[in-house]
Amino acid sequence: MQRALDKGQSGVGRLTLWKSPLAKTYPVAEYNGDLEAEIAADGWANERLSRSDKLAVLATLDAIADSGLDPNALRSAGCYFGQSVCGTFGSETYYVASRAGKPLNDHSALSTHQSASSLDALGRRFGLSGPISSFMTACSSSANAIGLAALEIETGHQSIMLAGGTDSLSQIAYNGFCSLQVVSPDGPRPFDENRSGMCVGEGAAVLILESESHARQRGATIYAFVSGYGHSCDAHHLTAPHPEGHGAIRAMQEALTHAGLTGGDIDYVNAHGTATRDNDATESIALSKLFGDHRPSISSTKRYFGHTLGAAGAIEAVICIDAMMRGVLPANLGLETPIAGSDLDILRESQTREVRHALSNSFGFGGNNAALVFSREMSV
Amino acid sequence: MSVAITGIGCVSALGDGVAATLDALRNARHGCAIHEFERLDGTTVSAPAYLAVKPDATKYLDKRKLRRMDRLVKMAAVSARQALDHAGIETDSISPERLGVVTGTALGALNITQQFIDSWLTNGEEHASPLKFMNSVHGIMASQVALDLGATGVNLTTSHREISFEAALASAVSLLESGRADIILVGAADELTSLAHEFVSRLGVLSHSEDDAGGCQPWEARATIVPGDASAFFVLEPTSTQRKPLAILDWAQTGRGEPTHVSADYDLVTTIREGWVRSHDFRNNHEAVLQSQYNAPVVSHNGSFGVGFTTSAMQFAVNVLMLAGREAFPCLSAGEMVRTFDAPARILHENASPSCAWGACALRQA
Repeated sequence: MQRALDKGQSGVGRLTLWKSPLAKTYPVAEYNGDLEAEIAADGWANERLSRSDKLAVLATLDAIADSGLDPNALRSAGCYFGQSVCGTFGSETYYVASRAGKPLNDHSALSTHQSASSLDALGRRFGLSGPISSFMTACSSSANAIGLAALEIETGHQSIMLAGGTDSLSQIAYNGFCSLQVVSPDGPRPFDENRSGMCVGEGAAVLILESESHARQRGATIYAFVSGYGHSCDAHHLTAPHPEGHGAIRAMQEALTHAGLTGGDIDYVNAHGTATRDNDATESIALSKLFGDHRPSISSTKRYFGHTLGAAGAIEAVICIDAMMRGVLPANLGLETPIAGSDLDILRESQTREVRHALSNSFGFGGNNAALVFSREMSV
Repeated sequence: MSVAITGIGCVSALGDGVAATLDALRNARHGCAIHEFERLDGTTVSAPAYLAVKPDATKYLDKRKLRRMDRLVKMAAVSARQALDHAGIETDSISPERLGVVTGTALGALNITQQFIDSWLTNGEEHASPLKFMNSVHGIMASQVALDLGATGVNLTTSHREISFEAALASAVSLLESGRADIILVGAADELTSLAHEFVSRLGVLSHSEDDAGGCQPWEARATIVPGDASAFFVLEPTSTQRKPLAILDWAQTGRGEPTHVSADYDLVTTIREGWVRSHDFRNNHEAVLQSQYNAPVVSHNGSFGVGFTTSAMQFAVNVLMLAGREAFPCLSAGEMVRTFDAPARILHENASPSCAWGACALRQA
């Protein structure tokens, strides 16, 4: 991820997972590793896992290894994940075959269809016994999962939570967004005046959240603090955001208040920035209203990874934390002409800058808005 | 943190609303009947099921809104409205930013998802239906309820197989605890569509016998279950509310493996019992653990409203109604009364998924 961010590499390319007449026009961002080999290397070759489950397991293995946590310490941990597509990559194929009257002996797609399949897999693999839930709020899912997991720790109910998101590509998501005419043939160009839409992607990311005392007691390297979480609903339209960004502003403001910060404290914003006409226009309005004269560095990273839907909030949380740790902010790939009338500081190039506090936005269907604040040190 | 439950709305095979549900429970009526389900090959099958009645949606929603809702969303929207009515809450009397909606669902908008796939299989991928797609997302119930009520507060959808409702309940309590809302409408709904019936039947799980028209037999070792669908919503508020609580919810949580909330202070333990002999070792063992840990009856009212991914929300409704009315409703098996018990003052509501996840909460009289 760091390499892609530093080099400005986009993962957007041609769809290969299935055949589609839309593939020649609309690109996707597929996971470019050898998923089957990687999952088999961890002893899961014969397990019934969806593509989304496999991405979740691999991301969690990475996170746990990176945390240096004793696996036994995970037994009391809880796990909150955000998802949107879940196992539909397999179950939609099962349905299509059933509809065509093909005989089917393997019904495993029925059990891996649900979001719980990923959490069940993680529970089995790591022996988790704490609170467990999957949040399905479309593209804000994993931001909500992280925010709610952080609340579990803040309220003293848990000392360790795994929090993240996973989603694979699927025909339902790809055909669906294409049907809404919000997918760009040229790949996403967030916050560009001439943007023509999003790109559906896939991926997973996991954060190991610990209470500060737990992390310090075991001598862990603390990358960042989840210092604020805000959430709101537009209650305006099933897919379109509120034109004035009312809900988005409330979510961001609530996250800042929770963190004990003001807009002026934010150094970097990882915007939702899907590159659709509606989202980027209203998010620009919301960011301008929230920050006023303050101009934090802003980028959307959707052109690197595509829009990974339920996983996007978690992947972008990792990007914020990486920016904070290294002081290198990713460029807003694809930006040529900023949106007319917007004076936001959208990063055309990557930028070296100290980041004390970063804000990450995730907005989903139904006007579901989530905002997270990450801080290098806790201010309250 | 304890929270007050001040309103209930429910649409199930027992009836439309609290009054109809109470009447059925008090009179030991079940909601099972023989229904027809369409198969993908165009044939139909008859099988016993507890399908929720068609709610009187026009009482709460205008035709313009109803046109945009399928059966599942209508059930959810109506039961959410019923819950507010039951609590005596006028939507214009509360701050929309402080009204949250938290919904549990395992399968979500399965029927609309099927229609969306059919739209591209029939017309080609280039002509898939955008309307079906935007209504197929899992969060559609919570979104539509919020749209209907103008609720701009927290809006979540949880999904974890059989404990989807209990996960919603745990999140709602957490959000109230952290001061994120003044009122949360928490509920759950899933729909027994023909497709769900066909696919689950392939696993050899569902009864197709007309002899089972009397419904579930929770205490018998059966080869199959009798499925059902329902929607139930509840108004949760801090205990400082001026409204009279129906019951108090002391805690709600989820977890995996052995339950971590063992305590002897309950008069009654309710769980999901379906009588399915193949109902997985974890679930059977889980109930054995409950039985050994609590000096209280372990009961289930699944014989009244059937078994579905989120019908535990109906069991929760039954529990709250028992506490509110200081009464006890008999448990049914094949339509016959099989278990009676004294009116409980404290109830442990328990549910478990065969995948080793559990959800639980503690309820007591207000």
